[in-house]
Amino acid sequence: MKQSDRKWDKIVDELKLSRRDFIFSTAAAGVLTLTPRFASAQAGKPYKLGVLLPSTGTGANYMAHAIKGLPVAIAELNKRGGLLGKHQVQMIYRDTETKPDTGAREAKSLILNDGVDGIFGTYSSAVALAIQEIIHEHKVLHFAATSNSSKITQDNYTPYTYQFCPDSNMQSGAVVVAVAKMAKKNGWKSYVSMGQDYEWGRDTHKGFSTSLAKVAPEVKETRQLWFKLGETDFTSYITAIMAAKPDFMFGAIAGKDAETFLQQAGQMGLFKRVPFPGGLIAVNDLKAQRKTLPRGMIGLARCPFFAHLNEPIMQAYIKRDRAAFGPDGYPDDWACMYYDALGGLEQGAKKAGSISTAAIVKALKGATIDTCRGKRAFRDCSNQLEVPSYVGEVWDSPDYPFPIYKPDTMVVVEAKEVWTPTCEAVEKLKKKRA
Amino acid sequence: MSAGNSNWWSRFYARYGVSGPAALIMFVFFLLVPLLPGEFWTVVGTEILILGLLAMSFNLLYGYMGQISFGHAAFFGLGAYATAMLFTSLKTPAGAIEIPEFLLSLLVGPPVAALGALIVGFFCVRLTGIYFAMLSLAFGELLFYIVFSWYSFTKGDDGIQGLLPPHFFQDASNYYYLTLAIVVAALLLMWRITESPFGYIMRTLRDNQRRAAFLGINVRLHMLMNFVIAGAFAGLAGALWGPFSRSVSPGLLGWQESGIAVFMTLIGGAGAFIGPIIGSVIYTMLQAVVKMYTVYWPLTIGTIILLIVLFVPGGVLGLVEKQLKARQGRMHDAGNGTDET
Repeated sequence: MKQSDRKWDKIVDELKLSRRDFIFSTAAAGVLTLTPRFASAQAGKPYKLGVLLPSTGTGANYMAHAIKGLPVAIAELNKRGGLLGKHQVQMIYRDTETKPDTGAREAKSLILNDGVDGIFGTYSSAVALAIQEIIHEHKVLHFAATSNSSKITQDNYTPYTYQFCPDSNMQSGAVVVAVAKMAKKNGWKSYVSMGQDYEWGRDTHKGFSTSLAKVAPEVKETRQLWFKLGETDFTSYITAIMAAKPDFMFGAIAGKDAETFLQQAGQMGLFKRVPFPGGLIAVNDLKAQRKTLPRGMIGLARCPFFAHLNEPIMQAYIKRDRAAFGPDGYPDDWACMYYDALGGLEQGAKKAGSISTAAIVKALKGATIDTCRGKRAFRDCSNQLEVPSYVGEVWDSPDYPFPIYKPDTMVVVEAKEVWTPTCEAVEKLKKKRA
Repeated sequence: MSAGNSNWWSRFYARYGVSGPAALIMFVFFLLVPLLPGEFWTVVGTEILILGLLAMSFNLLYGYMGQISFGHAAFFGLGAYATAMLFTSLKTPAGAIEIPEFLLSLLVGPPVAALGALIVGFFCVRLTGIYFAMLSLAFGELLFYIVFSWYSFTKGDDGIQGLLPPHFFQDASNYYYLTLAIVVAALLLMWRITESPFGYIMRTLRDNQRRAAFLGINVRLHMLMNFVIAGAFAGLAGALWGPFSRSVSPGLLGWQESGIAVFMTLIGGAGAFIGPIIGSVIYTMLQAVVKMYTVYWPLTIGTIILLIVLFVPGGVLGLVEKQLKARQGRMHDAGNGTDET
C-alpha cells in the first residue's frame, strides 16, 4: 500500500466513515462548493471595489467612520442585488498609511493582484495624485471623496477620476464668501493665516487669500504661519497669532492636527481674542470635542448630516448608521461623501447599463446624481461634483448629544458661487498624458 | 559527492562564502520571476530589486564600514528626484518620453546623489557610532524638509507625477529585466569594490579605526569615499524607483525609508555580501502578502525584526552560514575519526 493510501485510511478511520461514505461525502462537498459559482454566474460578475484609505498616519481619525461605514452600505446595496441588481460589490480595503508611495503600491496591488474594477480614496491629496498615475495607466475607475486639492481634477486630470467633495478652491471660496460678509459687518481689516505645510494646506490658503483680496481688498493678510504635519505643540504658533493682534485668523488645518490645535488654542483662550472663521470643523470634530470646542466658533464643513435632514437619502443613511454603530453613530462628513461615492457608482452603473469602467465613465460625464446633499451634477470639464460648502457657528443643539452648526447662522455656499477657474482655464491646466 | 566536486565546492565556498551559492540561486530565481502568472509578482520583483539595491548600498556603510546611517534614504530620494526632474523636462509636448532620453534621465540619479553624499559625508565622517547615526539622520531630515517645502522647485509634498516610461518599458517584464540588468551590474561593481584593497580598508576601519590610522590610512578620506560610493548606488536605486512608481514624493528621502534599508539588511544579514538582497526578498514579499490579509503590517514587521534581533542577530544568511559551518565541522570531525581507525 502506498504511503498516501495509508494517510487516507487514517483520515477515514478517524472520521468513523466507510471509504464509500467518505468518497460520497467528499463529492457532495465538491458539488456544494461549486454551486455558488453557478449561481453567481447567473447573478453576474461581482464588482470588485478597492478602498484606499488610511487607518494609520495622519488622517486616520477622519477616515474611521468611512472605513467601518462602507461595508455596511455595501451590504445593504448587495441585499438589493448589487450593481444593476445582479453584480454583488466586493470591497477590498488597503491602508495607505497617508504616504504617496504606499498608496501607489497598494493601488498597483489592488489592480494587478485583486483585479479591482474601481477604487475609492484617498484621504491625502498627495496620495491621490500618486495613485491617479496608476489608475490612469490601468484605466480603472477612481472616486475621490476626501482628498480635495484642485490639482486632482485640474492639473492632474484623468477621465477616470470623479470628485465627490468640494475642491480646495471651492472650499476656500466658500470661506471667502462667509468671511467677506463678517468682515463687512464687524469692520475687520487684518488677518493671520496658519496652515499645514503640505499641498492641501498651501492650496487652500492660496485659494482663500486670492479670492478674499478680490472681494474684500481692504482686508490684509499680516502674517503666514506654517507647521509640519503631525505637530503636537502649537504654543509658539498661538502666541505668535496673539502677538500679531489680527482682527481674525484663517486656518488650513485638518485631521488630528486640527483636533490638537483647537484643544490647545481653546485652552489658551485664543478664540476669545481672535475670531477663527472657516476652520475645518467636521462632524467628527464636533463629536470628538463636544466638551471642549468653544461655542460660537465659526466652522467649515463639507458634508454635515444636519444640513440635509430633509433629504430622504440622508435620512435613510443616518438611520442605518445609527442602527449599526449605536445612537451616537451619526455619519461624519467624510463617511457621508464616501456614501455618496457609492451611490454615484450605483447610479453610474445604472445609467450605463453596465459595470464596465468605460461605460460608467461615459455615463457619469456631466451627469446629475442623487446624493445625501440633494441632486448634484458633475462639472463636465473636470468631473468635479457641484457640491456646496457649509459655514456656521458651533452651537449646542437639544436634539443631539454633541454640538452642531446653529441653523440660523449656517451659510450654504453653492458650488456655482465659487466655481474657479473657468472650464477654459481648466482645459489649459490639464497636463498632457502620454 | 566525488572528491573533485567536493574540492570545487570548498574552493567556491572559501572564495565567496555563503553569498556565492545564495547569489547564484537568487539570480536564477530573479530570471524566472516574469514567468509567474500575472503581472503582480513581476512588479513585486522589481520592487525587491530596487529596494535591495538601496539596502546593499546601505550595507557598504553598515556591514563594511561599521557605521549605521539613519539618513541613507536621502540619497535614494535625491537620485529619484534628479531623474524625475530631468525625465519631466525631456518629455515631448505630447507628454511621452523616448528611450534615449529616458535612459539619460536614469543616468543623472547617481551623480546627483553622490554630490549630496559628498556634502553630507564631509560632516558625518568626522564622527563615529551613535553620533554618526544621529548626524546622518539630521541631514536626511534636513534634505527631506527642503524637498517637502520647496514648492517652486520640487513641487513640495505633492511630489512629481507623470513618470510613465517609454512604451517599451511600460510593460512590467521589460522594466523588470532592465532593472535586473542594472542591479546585477551594480552588484558586480559593488563586489569588486568590497573585494579590492579599498574594501579591506573599510573592514579595517570597521574593526579598529585607531589601528588603521596607525597604519597610515587616511580614515576620514576613506570613510568619505565609501559614503559617496554608497550614496551613488542609493541614487541609482532612486533613479529606477521614479519611473517604476510613476511618481516620486518627499517620503522617499525620509527616515522611514532609511528604516526599510536597515530592516532589510538586518533580516538578510549584514555580514554576508548578498544579505540585504535576501532581506529585500523577505521584506517586500512579506509586505505584499501580509497586506492582502491584514492592516497590521507594521506590527508584523516589528515582531519579525524583534525576533531576528533577539534570536538570529546575523540575519537569515548568518544563520545559514552558521549551520553550514557546523555541518562542515561535523564532517571534518567524522573524517578525522575515519582516518584514525
